[in-house]
Amino acid sequence: MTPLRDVKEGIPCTIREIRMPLSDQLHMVSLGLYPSAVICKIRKTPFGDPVEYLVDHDLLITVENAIADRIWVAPT
Amino acid sequence: MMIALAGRPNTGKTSLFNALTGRTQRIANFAGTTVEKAIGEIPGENGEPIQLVDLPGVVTPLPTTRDQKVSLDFIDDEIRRNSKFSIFWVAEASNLDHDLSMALLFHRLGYPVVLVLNMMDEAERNGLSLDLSALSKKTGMTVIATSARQEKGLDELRVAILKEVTTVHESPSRLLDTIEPAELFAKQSEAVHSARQIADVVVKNKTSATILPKVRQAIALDRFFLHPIAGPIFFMMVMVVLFNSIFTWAAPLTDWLSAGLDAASVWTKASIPSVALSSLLADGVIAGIGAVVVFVPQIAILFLLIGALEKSGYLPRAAALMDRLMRPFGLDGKVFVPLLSSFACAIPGIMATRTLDSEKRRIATILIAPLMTCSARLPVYTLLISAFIPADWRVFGFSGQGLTMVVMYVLAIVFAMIVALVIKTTRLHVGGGSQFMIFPPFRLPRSKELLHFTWQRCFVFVKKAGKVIFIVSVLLWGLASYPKVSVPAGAQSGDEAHLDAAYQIEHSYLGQLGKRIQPIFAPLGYDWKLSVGILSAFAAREVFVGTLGTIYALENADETSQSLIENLQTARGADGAPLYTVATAVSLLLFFAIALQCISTIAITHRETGGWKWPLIQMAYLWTLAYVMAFVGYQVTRWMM
Repeated sequence: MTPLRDVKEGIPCTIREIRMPLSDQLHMVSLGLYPSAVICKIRKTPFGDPVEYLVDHDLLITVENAIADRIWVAPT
Repeated sequence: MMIALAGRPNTGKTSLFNALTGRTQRIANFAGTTVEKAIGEIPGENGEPIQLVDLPGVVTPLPTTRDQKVSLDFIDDEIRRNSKFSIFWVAEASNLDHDLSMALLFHRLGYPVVLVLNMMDEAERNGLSLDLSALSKKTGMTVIATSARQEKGLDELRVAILKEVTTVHESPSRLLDTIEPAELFAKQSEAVHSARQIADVVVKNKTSATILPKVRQAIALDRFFLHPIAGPIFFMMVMVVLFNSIFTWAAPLTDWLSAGLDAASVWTKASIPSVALSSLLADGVIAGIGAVVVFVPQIAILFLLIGALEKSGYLPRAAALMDRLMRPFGLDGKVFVPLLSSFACAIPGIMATRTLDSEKRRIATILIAPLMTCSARLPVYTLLISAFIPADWRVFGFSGQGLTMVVMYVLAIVFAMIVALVIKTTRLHVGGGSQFMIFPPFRLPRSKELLHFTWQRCFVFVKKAGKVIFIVSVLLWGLASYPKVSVPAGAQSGDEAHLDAAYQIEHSYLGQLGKRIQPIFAPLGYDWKLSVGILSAFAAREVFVGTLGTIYALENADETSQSLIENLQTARGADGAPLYTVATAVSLLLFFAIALQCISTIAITHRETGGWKWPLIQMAYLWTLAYVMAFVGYQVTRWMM
């Protein structure tokens, strides 16, 4: 498992674990970022942070690097 | 009888609400447009009205922002006291797997929920077809398919509403606000997984590996909008075009309106025999209101362009782009959207801060929002720039007047960032940026929607300004016309009518009041007329222009066709020297760029922060800063010239 932040652009991976307080996890689950969701790094914004991700092939979302560090993923 | 339209942000709840009630809530293509519940009515079966409530978007059952808390608190409160209350959960048809989970959670807890699948037209364009009866069967909820933009499915929706309000619902087994976070997390995770399983069966032509055309298109366009070089350049171009066009595109319409108002004033004086009444109407009401109405074309252009940005889906991209840039100032990208809204008006801007995750950052944003150049400042800026910046001055082909306007907008941002830096040193500081932002698909704004949005905003501006300015104009006319005085015998003048009027206004109640307060503003370069204008602008900034319009119309009783701009340019002091110079204009521009002159803004800050502490801090720092900067601007410009 690696933090989402370290995944290369264009390589799909699957969320395995979200290491943050329960209320934040609940927020992320509700947004669509939950364990088993497939996530693909699309691109960094012009200044490198946040980064645009595609979740489950249909949700475009930007996630701040500090948060992406706490989402642990494995290759799909 | 009450129905709530709830759902995740940006699923078309407000479009449905408007289509059903005929009301015109604001619609945009980004999350957080509706930050407060809106209530409308639709006719019930026996003529008894059914209340329809448009709730702010809800993402999570444990709210992290104020707007979401408004929605969830409202739902639980209504459920407790009203057995005929139902939730109509609006989901985006193309995004069922994500939009369904909260509806399922509510339904499984026993809340009365009807599922509304909106944007069916977009789902069709994406090549999707949905098995609605299977969806209803698997979820146990009534399902209605609609397309608010195309006004399809509205009759079915009305029928479902009528059915729900006549049904007595059982109370839910558990209410959201009574469930512990750990249990809520388990229930929501379960609902998310069920939603995906149901969506996989119900949505045809879509596998888990399908990337929809709208998503593919958004990824492709984002390649440009978020490109390290092209992205920021495009953003800067958008901002320059936005603020420059306000000045340059509106000029012909403004001239046309100005000529029409002059004609109306001349006609009023010629057709009404009573001198006092014709003066009240022409010099008081028409001059006062007219001075502000001529700026409506600029305000319309501002709203039209901001509306186009909102509805296209570009704003969240701009917010992501700004996120890293705003962090050194203790802000983040999400703050960009309320601040951009504040360029139109600080009130929706301050209300839009409800979408921010951090309460401290919300207060910091509220404190700086009034520094953004709102539409009420436009009449003042335009008047001063037109009067003191030469129309033929050009810089790299751009109009010098237009560029000065751009500078005023940039200056507002610079002041706001300096204040944000100061706030960063206080306990209001929060580190980090925008944790998450969802990018909506790009949508071409519909001209009907855009024109409606612009018309609505202009109407509100004219109505608000018109009401205040009408009262102030009549009051000013009375104060400037009485007591009646005559020029003492022996006064020298080649223009008796003008001398009479000038002498009258100077010795009127208004003149006396202006002279009393003038010493406060003298260090900023203001005479008694400008001081009265500043005083009247306490209510609203644009009143300043109306006040000067009335004062000069009365003073130049024989020259009604002379515009306020010409009056300012040709005004002379007792020694014959120009009364207002570029230094005066710089001082006024700086004063108006910073000072908090809007009762409505103070009221909304009070409401949004729940007390008088923050509005008082806001007023004190903005007024002090405005006075100091205007003083420095006036003295430095005088020294330089």
